[in-house]
Amino acid sequence: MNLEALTLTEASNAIRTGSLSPLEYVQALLRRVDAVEPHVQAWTTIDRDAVLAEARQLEVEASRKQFRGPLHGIPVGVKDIFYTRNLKTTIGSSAFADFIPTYDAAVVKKLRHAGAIIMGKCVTTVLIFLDPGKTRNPWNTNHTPGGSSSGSAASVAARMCPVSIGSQTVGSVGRPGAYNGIVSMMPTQSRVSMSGAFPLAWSLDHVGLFSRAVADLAPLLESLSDSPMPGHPKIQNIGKFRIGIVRGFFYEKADSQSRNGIDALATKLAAAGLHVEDATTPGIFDLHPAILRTIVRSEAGAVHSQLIASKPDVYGPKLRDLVQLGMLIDSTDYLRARRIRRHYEREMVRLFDHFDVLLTPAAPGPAPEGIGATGDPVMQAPWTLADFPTMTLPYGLASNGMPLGIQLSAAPLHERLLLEVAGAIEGVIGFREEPEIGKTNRGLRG
Amino acid sequence: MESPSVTELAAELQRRAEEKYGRDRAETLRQDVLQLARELNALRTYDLGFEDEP
Repeated sequence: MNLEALTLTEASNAIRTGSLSPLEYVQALLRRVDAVEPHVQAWTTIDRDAVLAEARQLEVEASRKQFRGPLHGIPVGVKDIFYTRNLKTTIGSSAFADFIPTYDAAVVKKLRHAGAIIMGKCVTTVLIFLDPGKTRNPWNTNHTPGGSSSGSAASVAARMCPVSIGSQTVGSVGRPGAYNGIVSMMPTQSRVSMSGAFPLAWSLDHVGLFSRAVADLAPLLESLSDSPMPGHPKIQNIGKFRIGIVRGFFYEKADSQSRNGIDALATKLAAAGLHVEDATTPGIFDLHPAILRTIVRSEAGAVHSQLIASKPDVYGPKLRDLVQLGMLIDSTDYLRARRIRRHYEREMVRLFDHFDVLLTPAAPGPAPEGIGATGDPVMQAPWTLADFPTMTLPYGLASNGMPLGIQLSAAPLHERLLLEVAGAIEGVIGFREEPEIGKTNRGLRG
Repeated sequence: MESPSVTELAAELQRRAEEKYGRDRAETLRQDVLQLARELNALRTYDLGFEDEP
């Protein structure tokens, strides 16, 4: 058994049947970290003694068939913005280099309650915005892994952990998910609590999940969910699923490989029996950049107004611009943006009168070359603003060998339906590629 | 060519930036301030009723 390659579902089943010990599993992943972390740099902090101690305790419990929950013995990476009791939480910034919280964020508490092992803290971009951290893309270390959930995505893609937790305010889960060739989900904001996480913009911050298989997201989401999820997703008759391909804005922003890839995939999905049609966004869609940017700027300005005055040197150029612009916006304009957002949500959700999920490219193209920037969140922004639960799935490789992803969205709180459709699409796509860690020149793929 | 309302709003925002951050820093933000003015103006001209809450 190649332990590092196990999905959450595979590992969990093996732990429950007794064929895999939590200690053996975590030791294998720590060896994997030793082998590939120098190339990928996905982690800020791993407390090996604590991880191994927890694994030993979970092993004892498993041997007695005492399972804490659906994540018993599963190591999980946690983005370094979520507070972890007695474990450093740096928010990607020198301002918090030695900050050790005294309590767990809500999602961390839920992970522990479900039996997960907090593997370590994953790199985030500086203060959760666009100024990059140290992480590199496992598929080609000359390319960005995206952000701000850089380490969360890269750690899963590099098989250092089966699943991880990130966050998204605009595109910080879907974009790194796509760039790293893995599955990601941003649930509806009210589904999973952001309590105990450092914010970027409170009304837009969402928890995010990363895995290498759609099936892994259900037990992870159920463990984190603040409200009961109605049973496990099952693959139904896929012919009943209605998929709306949204071209327009998304195709204008996508490169030709992405557009052609989506077109080819649409044909493949229709041939597999799914109902595929074009979807058109309502007029208010065109206002989404103004709404989103006004809210993000204003709220980030409020979050950072004191820190930027006391510690200006810790601010990278992009976040500095965002915060200072935000501090110019008065409350009337901010509240107006919030009010229009409600209109936007109401108009956009009508798309689901005709479709179960919407499909778009997950990014303008593959992960860009260079590690000085983290790519463009343009594809996620409209759905984050609408608070649609959204997933990304890998579906192929670009001509440079980097993964390409699709983005699927459903109506708010319809995560179960989204997972069903995503599982069906994953089966049709059959993506099996893996990164060769440390490669800086992947070249053409056959 | 910007509309008068955008030009006026951009000028107001630029003044705020100069007061808060000084002239040199405000100058580096000028293009972003103009974009911000365009976006705020688009939101200000969107039709909302008194009953529409945030």
